[in-house]
Amino acid sequence: MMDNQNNNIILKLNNITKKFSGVVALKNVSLSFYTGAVHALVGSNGAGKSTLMRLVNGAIRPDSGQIIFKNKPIQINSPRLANSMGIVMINQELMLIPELSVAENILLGRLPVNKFGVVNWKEANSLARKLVNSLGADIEPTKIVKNLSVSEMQVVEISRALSKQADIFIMDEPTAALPESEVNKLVELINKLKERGKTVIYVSHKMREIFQIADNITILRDGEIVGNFEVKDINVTKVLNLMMDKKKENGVIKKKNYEIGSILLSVKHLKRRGIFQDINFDLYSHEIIGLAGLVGSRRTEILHSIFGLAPFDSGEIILNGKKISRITPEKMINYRIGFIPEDRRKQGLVTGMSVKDNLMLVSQRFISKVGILKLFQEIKICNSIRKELDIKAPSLRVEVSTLSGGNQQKVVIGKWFATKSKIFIFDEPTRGIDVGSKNEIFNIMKRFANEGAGIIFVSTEIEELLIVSDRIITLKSGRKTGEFLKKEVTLDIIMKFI
Amino acid sequence: MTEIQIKNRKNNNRDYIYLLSSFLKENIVWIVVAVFFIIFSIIFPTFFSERNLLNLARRSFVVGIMAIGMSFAMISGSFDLSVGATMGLTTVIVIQLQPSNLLSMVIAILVGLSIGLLVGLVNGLLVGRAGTNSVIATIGISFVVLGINLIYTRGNHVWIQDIYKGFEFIGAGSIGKFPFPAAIFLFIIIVSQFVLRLTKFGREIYSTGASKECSIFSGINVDVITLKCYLISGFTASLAGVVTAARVYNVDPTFAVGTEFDVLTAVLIGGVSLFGGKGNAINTAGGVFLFVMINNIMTLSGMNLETQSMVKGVLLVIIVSVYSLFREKSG
Amino acid sequence: MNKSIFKFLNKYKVMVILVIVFIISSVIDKNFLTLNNIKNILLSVSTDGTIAVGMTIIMITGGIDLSVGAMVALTSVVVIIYQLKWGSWVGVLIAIAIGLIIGLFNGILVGKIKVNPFITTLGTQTFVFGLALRLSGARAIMGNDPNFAYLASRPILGIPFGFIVFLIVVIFSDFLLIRTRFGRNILAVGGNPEACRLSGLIVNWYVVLAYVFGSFTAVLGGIILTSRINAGSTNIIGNTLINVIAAVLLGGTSLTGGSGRPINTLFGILIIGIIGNSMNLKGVGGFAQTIIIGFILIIVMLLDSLSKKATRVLS
Repeated sequence: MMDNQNNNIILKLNNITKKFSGVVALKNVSLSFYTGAVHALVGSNGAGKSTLMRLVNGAIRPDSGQIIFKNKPIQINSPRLANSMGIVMINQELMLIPELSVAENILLGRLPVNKFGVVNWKEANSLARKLVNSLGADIEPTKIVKNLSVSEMQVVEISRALSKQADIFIMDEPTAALPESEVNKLVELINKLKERGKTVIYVSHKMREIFQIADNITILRDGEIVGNFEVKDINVTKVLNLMMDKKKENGVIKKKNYEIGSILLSVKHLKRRGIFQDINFDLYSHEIIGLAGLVGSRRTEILHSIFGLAPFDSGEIILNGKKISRITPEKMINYRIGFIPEDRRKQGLVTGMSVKDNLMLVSQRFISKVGILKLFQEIKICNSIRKELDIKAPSLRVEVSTLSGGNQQKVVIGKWFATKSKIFIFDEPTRGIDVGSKNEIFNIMKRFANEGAGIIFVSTEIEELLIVSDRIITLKSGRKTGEFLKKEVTLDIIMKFI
Repeated sequence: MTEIQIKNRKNNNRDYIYLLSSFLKENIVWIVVAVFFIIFSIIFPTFFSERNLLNLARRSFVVGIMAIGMSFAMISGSFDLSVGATMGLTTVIVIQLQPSNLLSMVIAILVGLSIGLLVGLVNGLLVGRAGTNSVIATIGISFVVLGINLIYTRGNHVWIQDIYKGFEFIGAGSIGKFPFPAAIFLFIIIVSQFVLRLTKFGREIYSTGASKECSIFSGINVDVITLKCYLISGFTASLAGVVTAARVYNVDPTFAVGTEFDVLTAVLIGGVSLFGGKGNAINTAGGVFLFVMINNIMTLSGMNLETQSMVKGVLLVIIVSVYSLFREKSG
Repeated sequence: MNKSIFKFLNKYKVMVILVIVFIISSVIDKNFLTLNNIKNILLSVSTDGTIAVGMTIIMITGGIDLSVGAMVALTSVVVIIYQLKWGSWVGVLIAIAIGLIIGLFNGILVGKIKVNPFITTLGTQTFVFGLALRLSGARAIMGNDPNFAYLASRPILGIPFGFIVFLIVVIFSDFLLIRTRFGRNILAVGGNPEACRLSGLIVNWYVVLAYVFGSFTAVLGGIILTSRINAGSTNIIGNTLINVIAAVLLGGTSLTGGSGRPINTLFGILIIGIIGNSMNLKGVGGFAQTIIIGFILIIVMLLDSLSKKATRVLS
């Protein structure tokens, strides 16, 4: 496949395998990365991209296989070691010091000093300026980092890596937080890195960018490499087909075709300055709406504003015909809305509490009498939830963090069972979960809908949305770009709108 | 037995072992109390006398009542270091209100208890609503409360001139051989344990302390929970103050300075986690008993107060280090 | 709109407040603006101010040291006791040595074992104060060295010597923090320890050193105070702890770490000192002063956290 590379191989992965608690995250992955090239890494959530990145970055170690860096087999034991060897990761969590200047961040810990340890600011600033300019950007070295824009911060972080002679730059969804206008700057920057012979490993969902920037592309699915091409030899459709697994449709209940029922929720002209605007949609009973969009489309922010976790500046939220003001999560729960959040461990579950306590955390307000818990009833309810959702746990009393990812997610969903909710919001419910559990979760969603609930479903995997939803709403950079019935669209069409 | 039956039995046994070991781990303080009790009784014959033990019981209620209240705040994830000052101010005001008959006693008690609620309210607003650091905020409040105390008393010793019999009973009376203050303590333990374990409020307190974020996502109003816990903590501090007034009839205005430190130590010994989300009233009581026993032993062995202070300081540091090390390990 | 008001106030507040407080004090009492009174203020802030400089560094790393008040007590007792035996220099040196050890102890607990600094230093405080009580027998001990006695109050070019020591500490630390790589690293460590670790900085050592420095300044402040009153006693702590914390926060240092400057802390302690002085001139009792300083601390903290809360977005 890759036969015209004049560049050298800087990093080679040989038969890498990695398992987490028995679940295989990467299987026999072999891959080469070249100097002066941009290598895109694509795959749906759970395909193994982040595991691969973390391996290269030193955050985790492979169970078997070899990593060969600059022709030498090595063990990358920690991110700090990776850093010092020249492998740097740039992700959403920028590793910058907000109160210090650009120059200080770039030269972190290595400010030029005289023999007394006093900093030579002139030299520091000029060094910083040179590095920033070499990336095609122009930022005052004395500016305080917290006042910079996101793309400027990225420049600073990349400059720091450059100043430490980094050779490999791993970029994880770098354009997710960037406004459209800044994306070009990043593209330029990456080209400059290429000119200097650096390697960029580019992880993203955005096909357009990938085909703009990347030289090579590797497609992962379920922990294995299903394709390894030079970008010029392939197109978007082939990539998407390789990414998705057609077999997913098996084992999923077909949804009964009810007449779509009454309007449960209406969102009108919802706006939050700088985040999203003019969001309109209606949710009917017996239906599932899929919100499609890339990372950065602000779907989660919209959902948070609807549920009362974040404010919004204008617009209306109407439940069962009544406009709701001063929205809080408590209120929305009393109105029978359930929210399954994106971050299972931090937002969906209270780690440290038992399965039972987690399951009852929300429903307790509806079950308890005068605030006193009805223990026997609770145990009955928990057992029935456990059976219905097939939650595999040694006992209801164990700490919820001891369960597997899929079972944890079931607990998060089970939290809302006894609330008799009519509206459910699922924000990325299948992230990091094995295929079997994913299907179970889809079935649960369909069951709810069959029983009369309205569901809003967010996922970055368009295929999932297509399987489960009745309608799909596309969002891009905080704006609604389209609304379709499932039977009207295909994957390609959706991709155009996000 | 069939294979499935064997497997089931193994699973059941595993469950029981798991349940038993986690039960023991959670309630380990009582095991330590028992062990120390036995060892101390053997080494120090004076320890195991009826007089000494009853004395211990009386001592433990002040720290104990406050410890239960502080536990609420700490389980919800906040510190309350103002309890000493609150207790001090309450005692002083109750005494100055001169409870010499039924009416004045009732007024004194009501005023006293509302002081605790007021301080708790302020703390709750500062830490819950405004989000200030709970340690420094409550330290600041404790200085303010102490200042109010000193202005009110002008720094002078205060005493009840003519004490009402009913009021005396609160501090010194007994139900049979069981001192009344300890009965109050017991009552509070039972009620608190009930609230923590068997009510919606209790579960929300644990949830708030263990994961503020998830609690918000679950519709729990964490600011209100924090406020309510501070109200409880302040209330128990003033309750301890009322009972102290009834017990000693006269105090120096600064007598309660530093009490929060002892209370905090007892609470931590009792297994309430520094980080919130863990602990309960019964175990806190165990921590109180252990703390009081250690204090008692130090006194019985002739250690002077200053050295005792030093030992208690080191003890706190050790307990807190153990908590942190444990947390690092479990990640 | 509310957020930007808070942020603005936060940025320049210390100097604005200092000027306001100074003007108000001059107006409400004619005895305020005399040379003698000003000198009194300078002397009175030297102890707490010196301690506050060390506290600034500790808070920049995101921690705190609640044992500083007790350290002052211990210092005064140690200095006088050993002064009586072996002379002032020995007393001072032993006090410094003890201070450094305790600072090291605090630093290792917070920096390496990662214990909560509030609770740890609370424990250290109890230990240190108990030790001070033990050594002093709970009574005040008079010093016997006429050279050491009242040295802090002696004017050098009109300015009390104690204040000059404080000033030197401020200038030294400010220079260190702003102009040396070491100081910039401390700021970095407080701002984002993870980023520093990734870049190869040994974060823990900076934290340990911060606590050692903090204890050192606490001892230094204690020496100044001991010289002023020429006695060793555990009764001298007064409002040291809240004065120090209030001064540091007034100076714009954040409780959560990453920012702060000793020179701003200097302004902060001057504010506290002027307010205390005005209260004295007006005959406000010591107890009331405690309440007022407590209030100031709470208000400063409120402003600090409200401005943060305004900029924090939940999801």
